[in-house]
Order: sequence, then structure tokens, then C-alpha cells
Amino acid sequence: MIALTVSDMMEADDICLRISDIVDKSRTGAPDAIAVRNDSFSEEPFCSVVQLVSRIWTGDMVLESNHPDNISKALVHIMDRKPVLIGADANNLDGFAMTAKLFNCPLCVSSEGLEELFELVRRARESGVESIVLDPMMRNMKQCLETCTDIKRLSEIIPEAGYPIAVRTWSGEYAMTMATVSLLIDDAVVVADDLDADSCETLSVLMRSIR
Amino acid sequence: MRLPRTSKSYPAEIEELRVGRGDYVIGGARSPPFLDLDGARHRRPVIFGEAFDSLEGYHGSAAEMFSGRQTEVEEWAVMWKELGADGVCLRLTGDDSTELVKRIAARTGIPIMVSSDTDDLIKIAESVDDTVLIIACRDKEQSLELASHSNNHIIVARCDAGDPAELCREMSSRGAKNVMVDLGSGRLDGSLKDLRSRIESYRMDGLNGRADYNHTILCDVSTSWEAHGEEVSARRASMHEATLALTVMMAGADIVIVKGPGAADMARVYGEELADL
Repeated sequence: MIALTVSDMMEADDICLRISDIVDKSRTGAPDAIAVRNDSFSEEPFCSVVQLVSRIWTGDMVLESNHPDNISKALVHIMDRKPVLIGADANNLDGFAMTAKLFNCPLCVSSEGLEELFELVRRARESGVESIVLDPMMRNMKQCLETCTDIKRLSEIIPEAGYPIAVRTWSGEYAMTMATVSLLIDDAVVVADDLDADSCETLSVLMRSIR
Repeated sequence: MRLPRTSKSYPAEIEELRVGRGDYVIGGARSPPFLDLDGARHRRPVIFGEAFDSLEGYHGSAAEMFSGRQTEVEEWAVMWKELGADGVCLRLTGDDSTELVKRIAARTGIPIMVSSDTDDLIKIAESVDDTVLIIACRDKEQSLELASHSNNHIIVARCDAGDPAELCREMSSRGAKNVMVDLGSGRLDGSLKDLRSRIESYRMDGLNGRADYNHTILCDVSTSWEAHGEEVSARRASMHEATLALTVMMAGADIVIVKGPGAADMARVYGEELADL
């Protein structure tokens, strides 16, 4: 999955233009998802923007917030879309796990340390979450190579490592490179703030070429 | 939760080759590409830029990136040096190739790779003594022919299919002292999956000590331009080429040939970051 983001701080008209741009780019195959980012930290406008995006965009969705309550309120409006939930960490895991289980959504757990990351996986599993994504919070392509390889090898030893890896990255050519490295090592979930049309086309051709 | 260590070590290393006047080293890997987890040597793959002595059939969008200097091969080679390429890959068709190669080697001081027809390559290999060239071969037959006339130069074992070790052994038996393998050209299409797999397997076999699998790997990604029509933007074509370069470097290529300066720059930067230089 390659997702581009829409912020809930944007005006409605800008959101429509942004989604239109993402739809145009998606014709090549990437992106295939939109991530709605809860930059406002508030329940509103997050819920409204999630609803607006869901009405226009028919592909996969990702909801990104540090507040599980905001995610729960937004999910009520898009229960059938089963978006990936991003934002769970050691401080808010219980709330996120409850939401993910209730709405049957994949839950992305985040931690910079692998030991803590796998502990979060264990706790999420104990809470009844079945679909999990690992976010080791990689910041550059070197870290991406080393950490993705480590997790891939660990997945043969411990079950907590046997989930897809998420790469959360920013904009521009470096973001594309991060996406490339992660896709070459494993079939990652990539969430980028923005990628231009050439980057999206290149990534989609790469994915078709290596699968 | 205490995590098990996943580091691995390997019984063998990839061969190291000195090119140019001996001041450039290619290969020498002791781990999968760039992987510090397995004790990688902090050395990046080298990037060679293409220069032609004839522009017939050359891609128009690519030509625009060289500010007119592509019309004269010597100037073109110098431009690659100015752009920061590690070496230049000369694609020659003319009659005065030997002198041209000598002049370019003297003027640029960077390693030279040459491709041409068999007779020309033999003349070049036998006449050039003051720099170690890489002799690029278009097929297995040319690799075998050049192996008998290698002087001290590096001969590329072109093995798109079949067992590369068998070809390398045969080339050595004919007199080639230094061999580099080319497992196929890179294209951003369905063929990439197989090429990646061949490069990765060859590299891992080498690290695991399998005989005659320890040679350095060359990959030409300039062929990615063949997928584009003349109308393609240089940026898009360069992004495809750079992404392909990154793909083959992460698979295990030690030396990459590119067409565009954009891709050369990106590939070098990617290599430096991944090698932690």
C-alpha cells in the first residue's frame, strides 16, 4: 500500500482539489490509499474530513491520529472501509486496541525500539486485535534497510515480528527513495505526506516490475 | 522481551579489483549489500556514465542533459568527470578508438570502460598499458574472444543466461586474469524480478564461498531509457533509471552504468547514504 495524506486542517475546497490530484496520480497504480491526518488534534474537523474523503475516494484509507477517541468518532461514519489506524504507541495502546478490535481495523503500532514494538504487538494481540502493522519509526533509508532486514529475519524466530512494516515518510524525492528501499526489502505500507506524479508513476512501475 | 541477534557472517569475500591507474577499487564485499547488521564494508558501488562516439540512435531527451558536449566524445567523457562520475563507459564505433581511449584516460584520470566490436576491443586491450580498462562485452562469444587478448585489463563475462561460473572458468583458462560478471541489463519491467534474483543469488553464493561466484558484478541500467519514447521528460526517465540503479545496487551490483547525469547523481548519493559514508 502507498498512501498520500490529507490534513484535517485543510479547507474543504482544498481537500477536494487534493483528492482530485491523488485520484489522477493513482491511475498509474500508486498511490492506492489516502491517509487522513488529524493535525487539528480535535474530533472536529477530523470526522468531517474523514467523511468527505470517504465519499470521494473509493480506495483504501488510513486514519492517523494520536487520539484513539478521535479515531473512534471518525470510524463510526466509515465502518465498512476498515482503514489502517496509525498512532498507537506505549501511551495510548489500550484505547487504540479497543477501537481496532471494535471496528475490526488493522492497527499500526509505533515504537523506535524493537523490543518495545514487539511488546506492543503482544499487548494488542492479547486485546483481541488480529491485523497488525509494525512501525519502527524509521527516519532515513539506511535505517530503513537495517531495521526492515532485522525485522524480516526476526519474523522467522518470533511471531511478534511477522507482520507488515509501515514506513511513515515526508515529501519529495527522498520520500520516494524511502518508499523504494522499503518496497525492495519487504511489501511495506508506505504513508508519505506527498509524492509528485513522476514519483508515483516510478513507484508503481517498480512495484509491477518486482512482484 | 530480549531479542535474538540476527547478524550473520559469511565464510568468503567478493573479489576486489583495481581499475584505472590502481587508485579505484571495486568490490571486496563481505556482506549482503550495505548491511551493517552483517558487518558491511563501508564502500559504495561505483557509477559509470555512458559516452558515445556517434549519436546515431541516441535518446533525444538524454542528449539534452549534456549541454551540447555530447557531440564530441572526449568532451563528453570530461563532462562525466566534472559531474562526479566514478568512471566513463565509452561506446565506440570509430576507427581511431585506441588513440581516443588513451587520450580520454590521460585527460580524465578516471577509470575507463570500453565497448566496441571485437577487433577494436582486441586492439585497445593490447595497446593500452598505463591504465587498467574494463572491457565490456556484448555477448558470451565476445567475452571468450577477449579473454585471450586481455593484457592486464578486466574482461566482462557477459552471461545473460546459463552458469556464470562456467563462463568465468573458461575465460580464465583462455588467459583472462581479471573478470567481472554481467548478469544482464536492467529494465524497469517484468524482467527485473529475474535479474534481481540472479544478482542476489550470485552475490550470496560468492559470500558463501562457492567457487567462481566471487567476482564483482556489473549492471547496465542505461537500457531503462529504451522503454521511453522521445517525448519522455528527462526527469521521469532519470527517476526510472535511478530507481533501477538503486534496485540493482541493493541486489548486489558493484558497478552500475547509467545514461543520465541525474541518475548518476542520485545513484551516487543513495550509495553513499546506504554505505554510511
